[in-house]
Amino acid sequence: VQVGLLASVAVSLTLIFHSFSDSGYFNQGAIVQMIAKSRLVSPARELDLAQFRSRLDTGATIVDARFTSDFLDGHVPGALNIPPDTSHVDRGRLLKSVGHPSTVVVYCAGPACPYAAILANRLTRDGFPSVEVFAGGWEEWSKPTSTFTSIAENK
Amino acid sequence: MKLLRRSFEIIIGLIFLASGSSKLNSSFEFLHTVTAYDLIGWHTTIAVAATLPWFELVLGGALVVGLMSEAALWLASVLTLTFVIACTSALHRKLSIPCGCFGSSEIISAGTVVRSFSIFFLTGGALILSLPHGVRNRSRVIQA
Repeated sequence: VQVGLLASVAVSLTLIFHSFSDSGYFNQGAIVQMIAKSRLVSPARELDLAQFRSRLDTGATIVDARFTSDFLDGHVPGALNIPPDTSHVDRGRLLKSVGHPSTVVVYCAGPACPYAAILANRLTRDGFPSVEVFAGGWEEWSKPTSTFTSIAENK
Repeated sequence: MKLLRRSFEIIIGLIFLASGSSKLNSSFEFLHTVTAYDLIGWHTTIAVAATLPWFELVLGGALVVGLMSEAALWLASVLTLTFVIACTSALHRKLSIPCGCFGSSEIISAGTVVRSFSIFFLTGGALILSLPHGVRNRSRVIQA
């Protein structure tokens, strides 16, 4: 009886949270669908920090797949921000500003963040020949040894 | 013995509270992590990713407060053992994915499995201590 009671409380709280919270799955169907679709496509090639630095040195286009507020708090120098909720049209417009780059590297908050892999698959589908993912993302890049650009430095 | 059991319950409760709240803070990252384990179908994945953090919070809260602690320990043992199996399976399949524990991006390793096993043993220990004295003695006789 007690196991059932605890389970009922947990399930009720789950339903309330996902129905009313901004982070709830019922309220953010588009993001849930995005994650669902990401299962069906083959993952992009992943880079470690050293490889990412070398891509940066060779002038690859770096794309930050996090939400704009996170991007404004700090990002890899020269990165272009394409947030998860960007439409196909806006994505094309943003990438037009950097021409049609031969190599694109996408990063997100960290290995657990799904947006980099999702965006990489979209860009591959859009026809970009070489799209890679920096799996460590901002979390690894912004460790004390890395140099980073903050909004304060940009000003 | 009672004090030892309460200490175990509070430690496990705090672990579950920390784990549950970190998952709620990054609910979409957690959904992605559960997806990456590639063990269950999509609808079950959503159900697990949605309910697991709340199960952890409810069980953690019950254990810290000391309410329905025996039932909470049973459920906590099942959850921890399931997690150990999922981690071992991912490790066996050489998946390089985040474990989804405590909101960090820690990639699954043998260390993750050992740590989860330790929590499982802690839960099992607390469960044995919560059994009535007679039952505990009887199980000792059976083991002998």
